[in-house]
Amino acid sequence: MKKRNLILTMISMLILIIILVFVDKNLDSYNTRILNLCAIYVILALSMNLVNGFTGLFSLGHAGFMAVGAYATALLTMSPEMKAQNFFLAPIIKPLANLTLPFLPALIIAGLITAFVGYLIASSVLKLRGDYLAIATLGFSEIIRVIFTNTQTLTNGALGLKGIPNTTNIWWTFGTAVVTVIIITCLINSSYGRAFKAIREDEVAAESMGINLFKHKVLSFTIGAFFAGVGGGLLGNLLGTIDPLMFRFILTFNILLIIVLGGMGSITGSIIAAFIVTIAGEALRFLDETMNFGFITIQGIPGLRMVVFSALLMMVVIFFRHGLMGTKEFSFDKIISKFSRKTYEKGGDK
Amino acid sequence: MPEVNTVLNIEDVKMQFGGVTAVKDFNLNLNSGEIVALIGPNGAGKTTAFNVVTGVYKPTAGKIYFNNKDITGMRPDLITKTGIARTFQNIRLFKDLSVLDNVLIANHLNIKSNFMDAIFRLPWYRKEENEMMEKSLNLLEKVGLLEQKDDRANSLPYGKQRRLEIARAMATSPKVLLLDEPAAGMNPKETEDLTNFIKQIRDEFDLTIFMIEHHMQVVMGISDRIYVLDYGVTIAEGNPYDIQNNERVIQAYLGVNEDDA
Repeated sequence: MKKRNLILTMISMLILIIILVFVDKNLDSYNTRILNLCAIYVILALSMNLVNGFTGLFSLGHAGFMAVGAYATALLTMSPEMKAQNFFLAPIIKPLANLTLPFLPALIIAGLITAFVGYLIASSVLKLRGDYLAIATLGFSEIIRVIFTNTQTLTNGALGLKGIPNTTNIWWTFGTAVVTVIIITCLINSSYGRAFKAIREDEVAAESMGINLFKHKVLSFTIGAFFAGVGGGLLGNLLGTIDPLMFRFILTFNILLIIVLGGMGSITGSIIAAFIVTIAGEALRFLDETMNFGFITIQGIPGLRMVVFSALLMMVVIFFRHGLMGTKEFSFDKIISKFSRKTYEKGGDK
Repeated sequence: MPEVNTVLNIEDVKMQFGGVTAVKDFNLNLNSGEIVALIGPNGAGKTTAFNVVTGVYKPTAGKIYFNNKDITGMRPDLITKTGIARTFQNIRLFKDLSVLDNVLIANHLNIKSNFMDAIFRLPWYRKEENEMMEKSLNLLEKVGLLEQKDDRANSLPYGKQRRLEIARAMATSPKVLLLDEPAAGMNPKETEDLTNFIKQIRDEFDLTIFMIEHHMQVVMGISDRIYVLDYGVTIAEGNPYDIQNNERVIQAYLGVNEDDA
């Protein structure tokens, strides 16, 4: 059984690689960018699902963590000349001016810095619960954004950073997404993951079973922040330009939409929903433009897309309370047992 | 002569909530291997006493010693680690998780590998995971829940949920087990099974059991000693026979006869 699943996983990976090669060679830059965004949203959704879906902490600080990751990666990968061009109001602080790292170490360092910020925030706000935690994390996310707007010598303030090397490509995004899926899956299926779920189910019972609530909540939050930072870093180097206004609450809302739609506490759900929401976001762009039905012409309403998304979220909350997947996961065993039952039924028809 | 070995020692514990004194000057000692029951009318402060022992509440005054170690006001998870496990009056299982997961979670407190070892499935983590799995399956077999191990916890019938809660508490390897109304809501057959089950685990795991129970058949049937609480005050202590004939206990339960008073 185990061996069969391993082989099937290998085959799926191979298929994914083949698809990626095809995408890399054939698709235009617009469609490639959408797929890149899909993969980045997979990373972000998983990191948020770990905190909100698996550990049951209602955190809304994701945009802040992404900002930290994006700025850290950008500053670590930009060339000294580019930095000099960007920081014309006030020069960048010394050690960063001439520092340029390759993408991978930059991304990991950015993740670690974000994790550290996440750790600091977690240690101060995780005494709170439920709605209060949501408000506190949302507040911290905004604080990070405001700080970045004002630290001229570190982040170039409201001007943002331009000319970040476009290192992010389809291999980086999907590669990181696959690694994230593997790590989060391993974590969730480990003893620590079970402890997280126990905290989600019943804090009092979890504590009386010997689980240190604070330690495990901080751990989950910090790991979540790490991947949010990595996702932010990939995003920054994909877009090439970042500024503090990018990291407003709406970004957190987008990721929240994904995990609620996919199912709080389902890795598979997050992956599927990340693709649905990102692709739909582009496909529904026509809603914002002038629509001509032949007999009637509707003037473009900017933001109509978001109205549709909000309506979608409401519908999910009302009709599919547990999202697409609930807490269920994809597994080869289930598919095969379903499949073999079907062939059995077919055999019975004869 | 068998050596009397005190495991849990509660000295003059007092618990106040604002102006209300829920438990007053509560004294109790549990000897190793005993089954001790705590009874009393509704609102007598029994569950409060439990919550003080398990660290959910910090007592206003008094001390609690476990194996001569002061555990007063310690965090609940640390108290569980020292060897006191509990169940809850209104079952608190991890409802959406499987029966096996419920028991596995209770093994987590002794884990030595850190989360990195767990993510990368390093050999020492895998060894620990296998040990946990083996221990949990053993335990489930002993409590008769092995067949339902993959079922969701809240899909079990009521009596089995109670059993699972006890099994989960047992998985923390306790020396003292606190049961909060284990027989609540059970039919006579289930009650009898439970009584035997409690005796069985006491013998098998070398436990000391301290329980709150309203079901007199259970209390009188298995307790070595009984404490009676009324309005936060201990009004009687002794073996089942003494308690049944104690004037104050009868008064507390049935009320005072106006003519006699």
